[in-house]
Amino acid sequence: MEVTNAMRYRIFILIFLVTTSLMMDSGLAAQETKGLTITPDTINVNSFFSGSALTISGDIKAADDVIIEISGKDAINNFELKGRVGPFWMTTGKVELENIPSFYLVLLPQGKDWLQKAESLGLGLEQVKHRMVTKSTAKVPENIFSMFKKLKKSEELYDEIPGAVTYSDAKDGMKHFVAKCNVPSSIALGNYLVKATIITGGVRGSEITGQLKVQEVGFVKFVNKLAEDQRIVFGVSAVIIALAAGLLMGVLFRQSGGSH
Amino acid sequence: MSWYIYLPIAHHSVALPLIVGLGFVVGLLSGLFGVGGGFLMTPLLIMFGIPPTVAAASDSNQIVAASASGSYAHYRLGNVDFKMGIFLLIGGVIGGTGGVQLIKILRALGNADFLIMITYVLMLGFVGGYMLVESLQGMRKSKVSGPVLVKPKESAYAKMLKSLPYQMNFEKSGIVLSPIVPLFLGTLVGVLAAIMGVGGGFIMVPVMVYLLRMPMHVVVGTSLFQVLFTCINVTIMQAYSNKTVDFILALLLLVGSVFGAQVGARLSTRLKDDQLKIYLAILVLIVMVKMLYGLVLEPHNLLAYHGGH
Repeated sequence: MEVTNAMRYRIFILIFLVTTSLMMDSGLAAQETKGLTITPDTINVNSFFSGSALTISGDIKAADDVIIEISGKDAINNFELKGRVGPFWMTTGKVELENIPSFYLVLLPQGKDWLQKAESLGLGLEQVKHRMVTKSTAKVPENIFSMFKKLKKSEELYDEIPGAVTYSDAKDGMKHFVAKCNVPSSIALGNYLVKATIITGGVRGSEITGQLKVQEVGFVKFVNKLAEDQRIVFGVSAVIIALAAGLLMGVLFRQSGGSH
Repeated sequence: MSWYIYLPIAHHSVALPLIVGLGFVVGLLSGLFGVGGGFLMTPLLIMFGIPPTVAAASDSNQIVAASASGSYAHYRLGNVDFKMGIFLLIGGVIGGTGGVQLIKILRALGNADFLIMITYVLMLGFVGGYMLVESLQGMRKSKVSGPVLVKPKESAYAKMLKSLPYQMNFEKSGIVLSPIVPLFLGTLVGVLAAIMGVGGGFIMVPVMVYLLRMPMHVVVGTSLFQVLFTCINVTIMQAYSNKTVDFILALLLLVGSVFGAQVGARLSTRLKDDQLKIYLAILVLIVMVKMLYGLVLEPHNLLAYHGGH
């Protein structure tokens, strides 16, 4: 196969566009939210995004504690229930779970009993369980929430992390808290609520909220837009590039010695 | 430098060497056996966290590159029977279109995924088992006996093939056959390929060897030629209908696969027909056992996303 000048020109343009878009991908932004500092408050999903470290900090009274929740918007999720039929495991029913956030992280202070304390205060995964609405045509197992939690945890989209919140020494009756966690690469685009609940004397006190934004930028945004707005062009381009790459490699292999 | 790259359509981050390595292995199989590799690559991608719909569609895109590279290599070696390939392709398109409608009905009836899996297990078990036994017998006979003096009795299937109208000479394959046969078999494979969501190479290869009686080296090149067009159609349809073709994932896979396909095509010329068949049979049987294991073993979670995420 002859590699024409027109083909070389198109390949060069494509490589140039891809490289430029990758280089334009920017890093992370940081901005202070009133009362709650979220760093970064905007996560830019670029071509090299593999998750992001997130830090949430603020000041509370020296005697208080704080529990941080990061949650995505509530969504309706459709699931399949598996059961044994003869020797095989197959779908035996469908279940719809409503009022559950797409993403939910709970960051707790140091100490073993904070999981139980959060639960007794109506915070953490237990409160998700209580407000979850289940709809199903089949018999729903009693441990449906445990199964759901296991599924989400395997995707790193749900978690409770004891010890994620640390405090500085108290000064003038106040102390500084810092909560650290990792946001997985599987997080969906959109806005997330960051809520710090102050625990005063063992009971829930005031709340400070902030917002975390996850957005796509650069080449990732360009590809998604093209795939959405120009579907046929996207599909045909994918085929042409694949064909060109395949045939080009065929030609290169022949020129480097061939197989005859 | 980061070894991770974010896949824009899959919305998932992957390790670069892992994906390029997977592409190479599947490309190698493609060039070696004439199979597209979809039946291996898609489950592997799902295993690494890529959503199944994106894995299947993007895999079709990379198979376009691998099979184009492999077809070209085999074309230069004189291993592509274009006449036979076109008849099989026409049948494949007809069967594929019908198969897509059939899968819609199956999904509406429920448990389509189980039916797809069990079809895989049965097909892979039958094809792999038959190929292995037949090839082992072939190797044993060639070792034990000298020149065969007795002409084997003509089978009923061979008689039936001869009785069909419009007998045509397929010079490259060295056979005389009615085009009705490749059209019919191509349609059947097309239906199965659409149900199973793959290019169909791993079904087409045994069909060409055992039912069309084509020589193995021509089979590999011709199968790649047929798989190439099937996957072009699937890629465009998936991009248009479902927006599931991840361009970056496919590019990474094809970087490895085009090299693999060239290496595979060269290796295939160094192996005997029976050896090639045995290796392919073993590969097919391993995949079958893995899938069967998945059907009988209790899932680690009895709750799964509807439609595979």
